[in-house]
Amino acid sequence: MARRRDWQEKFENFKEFAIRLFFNEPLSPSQELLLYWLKIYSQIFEEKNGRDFDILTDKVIEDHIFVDAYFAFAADRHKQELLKNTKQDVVSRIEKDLKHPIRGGNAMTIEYE
Amino acid sequence: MENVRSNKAEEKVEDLSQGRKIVVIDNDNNAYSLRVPNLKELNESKLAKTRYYNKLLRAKDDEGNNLYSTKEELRELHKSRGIDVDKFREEIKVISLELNKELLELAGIMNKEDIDKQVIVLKDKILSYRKKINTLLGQEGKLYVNSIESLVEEKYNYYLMIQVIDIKKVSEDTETEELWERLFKTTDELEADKRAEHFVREFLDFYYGYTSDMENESPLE
Repeated sequence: MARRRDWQEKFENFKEFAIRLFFNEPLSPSQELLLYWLKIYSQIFEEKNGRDFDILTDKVIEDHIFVDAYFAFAADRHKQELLKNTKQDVVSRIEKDLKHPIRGGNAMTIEYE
Repeated sequence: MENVRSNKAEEKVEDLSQGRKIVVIDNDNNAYSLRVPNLKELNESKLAKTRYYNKLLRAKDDEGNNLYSTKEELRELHKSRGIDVDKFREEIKVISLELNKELLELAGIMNKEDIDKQVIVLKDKILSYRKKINTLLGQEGKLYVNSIESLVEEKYNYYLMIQVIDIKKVSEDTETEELWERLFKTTDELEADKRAEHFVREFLDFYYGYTSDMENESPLE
């Protein structure tokens, strides 16, 4: 439901012009759930337009299991990036420590996953 | 099949945006509806929930023992009787890792041409893992079905339901706006009603979105 064009348009109107999506207040958990997925799909369409990942195609967006696979892929990429950055960060801190005039040669032990 | 699905989705969108769902369930053409509770009804239900929670906490049997147990007490009781209450979560963790592996494999091939069979097999595996997780969650939930927390949650839903289940008033004046009135006055009335199960199912679907039939459908079937 959340990927449908008409609902995505309604969601854009809701974001930009605060046009109501629902006629009741407060919202039910299922309405909140729909709102959550509208936001997720809106993000997915943005990512597709921004070409963040090549695997995000129209074919993928049309299939909810493919979308889940895309989420798993994006999360995995994000995790790898984070790990790579952490490793680089740790290495550069150790290198910096080794060059330190006082602590030089006594690099601190830094734990990371 | 696709048409049935899209029709269902269309109806659901309409129900969700209007905050009211029409449920016709009897042969006399009586129309019943469910709607989203307003703030006052929601607060009243929360208050009733707290009262009921306190009532269950205080309830004692003839010998002065607690009549009901909390989820944590039941957990400890199960453990003391040798029931492995943690096995469900552990199994779910293992299956989730497998599920993630399959999803990553699917992500690698989903845009390729001429590998439909492989995609179908992967999708089927993914759905079966999800089904297993749901089953395990259900089995775990059964251990605590009589806990104070579960009983209170059930009662809370009944309180909400009696406020939002309406019956359409039949009026001879067709010019006037649709009139709806409350069907049940008390939770006891609802619980005693033969249609209660149907109302509960519809309410859970409409209010919380508890439907998993599409999720559990296998592409191989």
